[in-house]
Amino acid sequence: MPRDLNPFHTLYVTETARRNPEQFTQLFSPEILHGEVTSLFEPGNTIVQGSIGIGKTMLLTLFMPRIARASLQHGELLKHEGYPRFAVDINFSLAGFSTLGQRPLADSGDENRGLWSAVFGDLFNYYLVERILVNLRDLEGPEDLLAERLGAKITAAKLDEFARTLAKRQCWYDFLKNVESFESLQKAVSKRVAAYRGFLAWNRKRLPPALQRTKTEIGVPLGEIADCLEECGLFEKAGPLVVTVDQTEVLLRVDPQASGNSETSLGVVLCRTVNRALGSRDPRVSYKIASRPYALEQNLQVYGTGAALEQGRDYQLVDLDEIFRRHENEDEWFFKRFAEDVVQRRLRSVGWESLPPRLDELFAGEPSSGTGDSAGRRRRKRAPGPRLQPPGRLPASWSTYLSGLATHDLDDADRAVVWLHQISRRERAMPDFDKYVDEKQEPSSDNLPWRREWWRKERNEVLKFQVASQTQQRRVYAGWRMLLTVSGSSTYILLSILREAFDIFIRDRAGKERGGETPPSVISAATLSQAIRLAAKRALERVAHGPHGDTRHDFLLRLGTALRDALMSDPGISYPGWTGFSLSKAELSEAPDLRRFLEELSGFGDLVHLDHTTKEKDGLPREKWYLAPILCAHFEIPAIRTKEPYYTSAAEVANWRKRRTVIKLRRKDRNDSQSELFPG
Amino acid sequence: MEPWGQLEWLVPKLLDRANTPVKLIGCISPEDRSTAVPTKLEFSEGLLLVVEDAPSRYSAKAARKVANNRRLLEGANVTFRSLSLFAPPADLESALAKFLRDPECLLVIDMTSLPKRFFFFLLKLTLRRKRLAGLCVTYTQPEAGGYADAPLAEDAIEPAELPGYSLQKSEPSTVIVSLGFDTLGLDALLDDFRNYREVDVKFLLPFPPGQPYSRRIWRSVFSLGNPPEGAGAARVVSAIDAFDAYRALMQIAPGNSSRFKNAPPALAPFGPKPVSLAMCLYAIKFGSPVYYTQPSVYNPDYSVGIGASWAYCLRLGNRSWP
Repeated sequence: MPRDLNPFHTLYVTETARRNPEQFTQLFSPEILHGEVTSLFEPGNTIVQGSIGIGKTMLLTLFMPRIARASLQHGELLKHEGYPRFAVDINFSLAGFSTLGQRPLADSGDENRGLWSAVFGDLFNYYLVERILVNLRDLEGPEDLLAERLGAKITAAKLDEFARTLAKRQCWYDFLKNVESFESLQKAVSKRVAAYRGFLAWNRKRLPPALQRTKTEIGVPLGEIADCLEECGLFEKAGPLVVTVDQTEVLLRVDPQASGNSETSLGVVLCRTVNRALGSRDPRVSYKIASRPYALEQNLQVYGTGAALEQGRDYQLVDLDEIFRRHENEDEWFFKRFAEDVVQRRLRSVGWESLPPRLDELFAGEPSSGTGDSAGRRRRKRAPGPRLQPPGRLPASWSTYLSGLATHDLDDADRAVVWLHQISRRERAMPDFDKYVDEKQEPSSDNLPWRREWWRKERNEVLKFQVASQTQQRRVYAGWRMLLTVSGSSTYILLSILREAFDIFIRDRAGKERGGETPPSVISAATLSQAIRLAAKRALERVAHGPHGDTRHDFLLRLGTALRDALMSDPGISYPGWTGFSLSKAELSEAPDLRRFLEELSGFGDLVHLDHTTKEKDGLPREKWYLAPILCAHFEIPAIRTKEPYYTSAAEVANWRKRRTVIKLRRKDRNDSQSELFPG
Repeated sequence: MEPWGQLEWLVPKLLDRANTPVKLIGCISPEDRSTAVPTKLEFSEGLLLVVEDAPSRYSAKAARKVANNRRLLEGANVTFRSLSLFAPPADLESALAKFLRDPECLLVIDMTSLPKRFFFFLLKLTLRRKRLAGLCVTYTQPEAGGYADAPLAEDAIEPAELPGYSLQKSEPSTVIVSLGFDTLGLDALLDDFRNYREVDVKFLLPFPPGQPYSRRIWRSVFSLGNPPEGAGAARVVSAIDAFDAYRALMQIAPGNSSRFKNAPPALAPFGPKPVSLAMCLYAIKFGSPVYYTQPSVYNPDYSVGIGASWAYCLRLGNRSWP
């Protein structure tokens, strides 16, 4: 069975652009290109913010010439007047910027940082110029679709004229005064970049004096290039030069011994130097920058000035986490629409058009109990009655009623058990049976407490996990909607799960059918459950292998275990919201180290970070964190955010961070603020 | 003929030819084997680094074990120099300059416990010194089965170029990874390359590691999001013969070929130190960028016991290898 038949084998759609450009255009979903995302293609600076794997790099790579060509050759991906554009990219990780600052340029800290800021700005410029010149050459070929679309009129003569015009601009401080041709321009620029690289690689003792005297201001030469391109007629249609910038967090790490975002950190200085380019609002150059959450908001200052970048004025923000996040109205959940398109495209790419048109038909729904209990019953004899253990010393009237109820509606019987636990704990006595059930064992009202819509809704998911735990089974994950929930609005996670699911399907089919190329008519709940568990296990393993992985993994392991213990040992499900925790903003502001830690976890997608509208009487602003839904699947806890999370303190969470500390969520007594959780 | 072999066999032969004092640079760590070369070798002066990891639950135990190992070397003509794991390279440069104020010596660099970000940097600086009478790198294995079952290191930082090995020429079209027990952060590095550039990824697998280590290495291979696929993607190299690994690198990416001359491959040394030595020498010669995800903390029980010590001669008089 060819592995490639698994339509989800390749997780990164950009990788297909290299191997199979036509396939790339089939797989790429233009659904993403709506709303504020389209500001990427408008003139002006755009910052694309989001956690790892959300798609920031995918969006930036749309500007790369090979992607743009693939788009034009095999059916246009984007119909936007701002695309394609003549663009150049810099990825600080791959471009050799991680070793900046390792050599002192001056003795004093301030002077050293200032000099490095200037060196960085100059190297940034020349690196991009070098790549611009290569990209221009690329457009020189005949019958190039990209050149045609860009209105490029690139000839050798024009390139030489461009080079001579550019070299005369004052921004170079005469460094390029001897440039006579495009080739000599390329040589001079490459030589300068090589000199910097030689210095950064410790191949030379110091920077050549000529470099030191002719450093350019970050971004300025790029605007001059845009002018010269137009002046020399290299492009029919004028438009800003697009510069995509990725992995800016590399800059923050050039000084590993500096703490966090301190003002003395060279990494912070370099990030703020990039801000100088954005802050100049040069209309000739549009920067499109990928940023992880928090990295941006902590580094908006412009180095060397007292100013800070302003959203709306200096840049537009595209917050992918926010765009993909599920809000109250599920019909407006953008990720749902996007994911449907992505998956359908993948299925069509392997010729499986005959599949059910709707994904909620392809992915089988879950059994009513959500635990596969019918299979469990066949495997072992179960005593009559609800699956959950009722409270101790339950009056016979209730016990008989529950047994009867369980014979025709197990789920309802279990809900009744939960309610009984709740009331008995709150009231310290069993509820009066006669108030709720008549002598014929029928409900005395149409609205038994455990059947009320909101009561059920708030507890349904936790109930399923408790039932699974009690019956020693595993929660069944089934259905398209569940798949979206567990993916947590991450396309990467969604595709990871589907890769596993279709691998299972293909393996199972291979044994039964020749060739095994028949598409599935349905992906069973069993298959999807298994796939989700495998993907969840790998997601947690990936944490351990990632940056600061052991610390993150250790914390998540203990936190996940604690959340599960708290939920499973709450028979009344009084705290269904304890799938996450809440901290006050004020406390966090005084615990910067803790804040950085939580932000790092959120930035990596380990935790989901949200504002929290408190129910506390003090009304002070709070923030809350939840485990990423895929990790919830690993720990067998619901990926839900209902009711109130666990209210905690910075001191308590700081204590949680200590390795081998057992995390335990403390139930408060019924008179505290969280007593509002008890049902009315 | 490539001058490498057991320390006890090779070094006397080098001394016969060099007739010059021997100086040693090494690293004292919690590992027993970090004391092997300093105790086996006769040298006139030694500089032993004591590398301080990031603070962790291991710090107290690591400090105790290092103190014990230091005691074993009392009386030897050794200077101990403490350095933070993430110390600026300039600190290492100045320590080296001071130590080699008189460079007419056979310099032995014991890479056994030296973190890669130090070892690679030291080797680059020392190979540049023309007046060295000779240069030899040594490496001691732990006793058979002596590696800890637990993870050897933790909390790697994000991938970055090693000091002295940043991108010097055009961006690479090939990435060569040497694999070992752990692949901390390697996925993130490879994802970056795959997203942005059209790169071929090749893997070097060390052999023989002996059981159970081969399982451990294969486990690390398959922990990758995209393990090697297709013929030619992975190649077995000697875990001990650094020159064999160097030849493998030259076969995968001939440094002087038209393809690689201006765009040498990127290297990622996640495997055994002798293979890392090969990568280091290749990178120095051809200007490859070297990427690594430096752990912040090392397991103080990384290994136990002292196994064989190996020596690799890189220069003697006016001859050099490879």
